[in-house]
Amino acid sequence: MKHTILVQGMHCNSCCVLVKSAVEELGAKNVQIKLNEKRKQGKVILEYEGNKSELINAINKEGYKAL
Amino acid sequence: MKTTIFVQDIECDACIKVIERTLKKLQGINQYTILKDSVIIDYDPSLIKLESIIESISLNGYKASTYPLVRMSYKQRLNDFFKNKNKYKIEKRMFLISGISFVILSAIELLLYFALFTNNSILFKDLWPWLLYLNISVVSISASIWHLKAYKAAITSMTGMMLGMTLGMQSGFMIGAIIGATNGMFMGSVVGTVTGVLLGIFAGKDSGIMGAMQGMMSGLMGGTMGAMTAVMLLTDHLQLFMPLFMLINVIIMWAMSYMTYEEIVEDKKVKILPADFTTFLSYEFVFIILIAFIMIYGPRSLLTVFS
Repeated sequence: MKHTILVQGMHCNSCCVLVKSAVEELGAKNVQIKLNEKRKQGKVILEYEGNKSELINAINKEGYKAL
Repeated sequence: MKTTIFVQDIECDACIKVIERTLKKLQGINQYTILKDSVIIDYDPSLIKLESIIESISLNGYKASTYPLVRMSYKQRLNDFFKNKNKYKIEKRMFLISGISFVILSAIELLLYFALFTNNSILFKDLWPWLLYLNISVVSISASIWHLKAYKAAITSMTGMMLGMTLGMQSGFMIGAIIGATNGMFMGSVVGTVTGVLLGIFAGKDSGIMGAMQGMMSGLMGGTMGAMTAVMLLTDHLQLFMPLFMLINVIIMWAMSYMTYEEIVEDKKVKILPADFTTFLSYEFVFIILIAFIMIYGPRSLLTVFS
C-alpha cells in the first residue's frame, strides 16, 4: 500500500538519509523523499504493507515530527 | 591507527548521526570522534583500509577526504572546463552572450556616434575611448549578474558578502571612473555610487541583510573612489592608465563568476534558471544609453577629459 507522510523538522540531505533508513528498517519499499528546505519539511512517499502509525513512530524516534 | 578524515559538509546533528551509523556498521574501527568538519578515527589497518572508510562516508553524499579542502587547482579547473561540456554550459553561455552583446552594442553605438557627433569636433575626438570603456564595463558587469542570477540556491552570509562587495565595488569603480573622467568629480561620484549601491544590494541580498549591507558600503566606496581616481589622474596620463584599469576590472568580474561557480554551484543542488538573451541585451542597452546620455548631455565640471 502506498503511504504519504509529511515530516516536519527536516532540513538537509542527512535528514533524508536518516528518515529513509528508519522506514526502510521497518520494511518499506520505494522510498521517495521530497525535501522543502525553506519550510524545513519533507514529503515521504513509500510502499508499506503495515500500519501507518508504525511508520510515524519510527520517524518520530529519530527526532522528527511526522504528521 | 589514528587518523583524521576531513568532512567539509557536516552541517547538523542529522549529519553526525548519519556518519555515526556508517562508522558503526564498519568493522575494524575502535573509536571515533565526530567534530564540526572532521572525523577522528582510530582504526585497525589489518581489518579495514582507510580508503574504504572514506568511501563509505562519501556514499551518503559527503565530501570526505584526508586533505582539509577538496578544491580543484586552476589548471585542473581549466582542463575540466574544456573537457566537461555539460557541467559548464551556463558559463560557456555567459562568454558567448557577453561576446555577442558586446558586438551588437558597439555596432549600435558606432552608428549613433557617426550620426550625432560628426559636427562636434571636441566630442568626436575624445569621447570614443570612454564609450568603449563603458561598453566593456557594462558587458562584463551584466554578464556576471546574468551568471549569478542564473542559479537559484541558498547561500551563506560569507558568500553573499563577497558577491555584494565585488559587484558593488566593481560596478561603482568602473562607472564612477568613466563618468568621473568625462563629467567630473560630482557626476562621477553620484552615478558611480548609485550604480554600485543598487547592484551591490541586488547581488548581496540573497544572503540577507549582511550581503545587502556589504553591497551598499562597497558601492559607496567604489563610486566615490572611481571618480576620484579618474579626476586625480586627469592631469597625469589617465589615457595610459585606463586600459590597465579596465583589464584588471574585467579579470575581477571573471574571477567573481569563477568564485560563484566554485562556492555556490559545484557539487550542490541548485536550480538553473537563466534569463534569455533578449532580456539580457535590453537591460544592457537601456543602461548604456542612460549612462551615455549622462556622459554627453549631463552637467560637466571644469576639469574633464574634454577641457
